[in-house]
Amino acid sequence: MLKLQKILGGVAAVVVGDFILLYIFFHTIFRFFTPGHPLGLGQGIVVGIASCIFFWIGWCMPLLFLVGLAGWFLPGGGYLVLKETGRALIIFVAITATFVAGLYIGSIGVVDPIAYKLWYVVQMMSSPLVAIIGDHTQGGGFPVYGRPSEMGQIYTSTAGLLNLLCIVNAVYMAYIRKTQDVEQ
Amino acid sequence: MLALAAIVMAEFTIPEEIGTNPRSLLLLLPLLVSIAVVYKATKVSGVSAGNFLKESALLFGSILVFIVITALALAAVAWFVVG
Repeated sequence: MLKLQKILGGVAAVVVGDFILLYIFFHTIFRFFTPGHPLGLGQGIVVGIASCIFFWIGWCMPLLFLVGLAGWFLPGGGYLVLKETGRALIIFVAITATFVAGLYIGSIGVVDPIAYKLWYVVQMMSSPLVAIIGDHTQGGGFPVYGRPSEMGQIYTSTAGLLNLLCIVNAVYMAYIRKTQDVEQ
Repeated sequence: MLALAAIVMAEFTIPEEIGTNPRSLLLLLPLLVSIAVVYKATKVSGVSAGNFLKESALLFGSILVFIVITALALAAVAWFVVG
């Protein structure tokens, strides 16, 4: 029973916590505050419900919340909170280098919240700081086509997906540690 | 210093010139390194230099071999179909 509870709790924390976090940021910051892209009623309701769940998770599981948030803001930040410095450093260097390489190959034009919306969602998983680039490049101010565009998007999006993997893993690691402490 | 920073930042506003030739696919190799390193960083129990590098290199090699086999298989299928 305890094992099942442990597994279900871990899965819920990882899935709900991380995806809501990304969803909230994307919709509230970009769709709401960007002029010309107001938040629709349906999206507003979804964001409202998601916000409630988001804060509920933060209230009930502050450590997992903190680990997830730190991991998103800074690649490897979740491991840093868990005092896994070596792991955090490797992940930070690898993910940041991949993202920067993508920007170098395809230029910052590969990050465009309007023209490449789906790519942008994935790129946002690297860090919310991608929003600053997106704010400058939206609307096609930095045109990029062909192979450089493909390569740049593949690199930056892979960096985002790798960071998502790290966030999920760090939150799960935090959850396992927490349950082990409770059992002891 | 400011001028240097401006030059570096300007590099990120112009895309690199990459031809649409098979050689351009070699750019996926650094990406493969990154994937192998990050994946192994999340999986190894203790991060020690020797063990971590060995594990990452092994994963990199495995994925590369799989990509090469898949490419050969697809090339063979294309050769049979096209003639």
